[in-house]
Amino acid sequence: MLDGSVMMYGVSQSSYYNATGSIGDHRYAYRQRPPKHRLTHPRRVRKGLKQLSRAGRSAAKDGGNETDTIVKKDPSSLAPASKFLTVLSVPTATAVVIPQFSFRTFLASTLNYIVLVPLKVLLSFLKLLAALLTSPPSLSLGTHLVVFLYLTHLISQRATAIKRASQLTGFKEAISSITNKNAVESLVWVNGVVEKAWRVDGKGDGDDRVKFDVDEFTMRAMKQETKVKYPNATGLVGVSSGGGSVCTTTWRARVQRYPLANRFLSAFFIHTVCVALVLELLFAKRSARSIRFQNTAPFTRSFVRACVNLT
Amino acid sequence: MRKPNLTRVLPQYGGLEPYLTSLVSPAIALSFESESIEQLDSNIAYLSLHSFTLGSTPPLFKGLRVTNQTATTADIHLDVDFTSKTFSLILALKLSSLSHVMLPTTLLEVTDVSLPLPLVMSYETGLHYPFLKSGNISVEYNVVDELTFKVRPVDESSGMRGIDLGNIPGVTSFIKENVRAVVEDMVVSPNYLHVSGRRAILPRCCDVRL
Repeated sequence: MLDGSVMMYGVSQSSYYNATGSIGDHRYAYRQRPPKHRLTHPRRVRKGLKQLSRAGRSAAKDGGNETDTIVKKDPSSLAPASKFLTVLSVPTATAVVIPQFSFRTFLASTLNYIVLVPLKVLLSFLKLLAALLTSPPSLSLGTHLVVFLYLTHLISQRATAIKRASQLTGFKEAISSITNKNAVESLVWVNGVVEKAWRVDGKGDGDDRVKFDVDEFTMRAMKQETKVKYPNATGLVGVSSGGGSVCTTTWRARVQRYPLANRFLSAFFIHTVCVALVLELLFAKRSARSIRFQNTAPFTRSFVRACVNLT
Repeated sequence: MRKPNLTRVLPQYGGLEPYLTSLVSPAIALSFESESIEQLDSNIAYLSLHSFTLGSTPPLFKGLRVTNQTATTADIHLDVDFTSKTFSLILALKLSSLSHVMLPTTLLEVTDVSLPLPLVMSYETGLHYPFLKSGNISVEYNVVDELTFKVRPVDESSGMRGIDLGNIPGVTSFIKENVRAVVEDMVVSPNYLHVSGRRAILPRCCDVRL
């Protein structure tokens, strides 16, 4: 049979050719030739494949003599058909197709693995991402996260605003009260003194020791008040703490930079001086140049004299 | 009850804080020797003072007002706020029940103290040393109710480290009652406790004759 030995442009064309019945009548076949796009119809492809396989089986039975028979019978009958048909090969049923290396196939497969596969993976990932982002649980979670971040930002901003407002209010009140009342000014001073005297390092010796600095303003006022020698200038100051350690010392007028090495003595000194000066400042009238002690505080006046002039 | 395990380590620094701590510590240690501590909870074998410090943060004097002012006397109202995160009162606790017999002694630390102290200092001055005829410091007794603090276990390996045990019902009230017991001896009126300022400033001033 000719169907098994001739392969044309495509399997579908061959199957059509067989379906018409007459191989030699090329005019009939030419007239009945359908449009080109119909040749690739899947139904025709399947039909052609079946006929090809059937022809192969019958050719195997005949032993391949059909080709010679056709050529002997009517060799010119194929000539008109070959005008629009191209004979590519003449396979037999027993032929084994050996794949051959093709540069085009190699280039296509390489291009496929280098470019197309990553593109497909990327496309799949994008599809998955889009599906995740557009799913209702994801949208709900995203909405909650955005609301949570917004509220957190709002709360932190509000807390900062409250903190700044309170600081400003406190600062304004402190400034206004300091300018109006001497007592608050004394409080500021006392807080500074207590902070310095709360814990004093007693390790160092000599110049390394921490010095308690009375400010120059107060020191000048104290010296002014102690120009007259106090009658009981010689004093014995005792302080006991814990097991009853008694510190006996004499102080000279070195209040301005008194070394705070002895913790018991320094505690006593600072404690008493703080009380004395707070009381004094309560009743002192402050001028532009100095503090002038008033007669309303004989205790502190005497105490300051004693502290400075004890010999 | 065992004797209080009061470890006395003299600090390497001086100043008001170690001085005041040395004044307050004996009173606190004495309070733990009282029999009333044993009656608070039968599960407690002993509760003693391990160490105590006022911390490195000084109190803040927030307000000052003078009343009843004369030539030699005055009443000074001071608003003192003592808020210190370095305040530390470490207690050694041992439970006595059979279920807790294998437990070691637990160290509990009272810290993060905040206490407002509205002090009233009244004094009368004199012309001779120590220039103070009388000086009294009063504070409202009910100020203990405004005391806030945290109780934490000291042990490094404890699984409860960092947890405020003061949130457990009964612990905070127990400590507050103990503080009340400490200051109870100084109460001179139903609402005020009283400290002699003259003796606080010069403990032996009355013995010295110039």
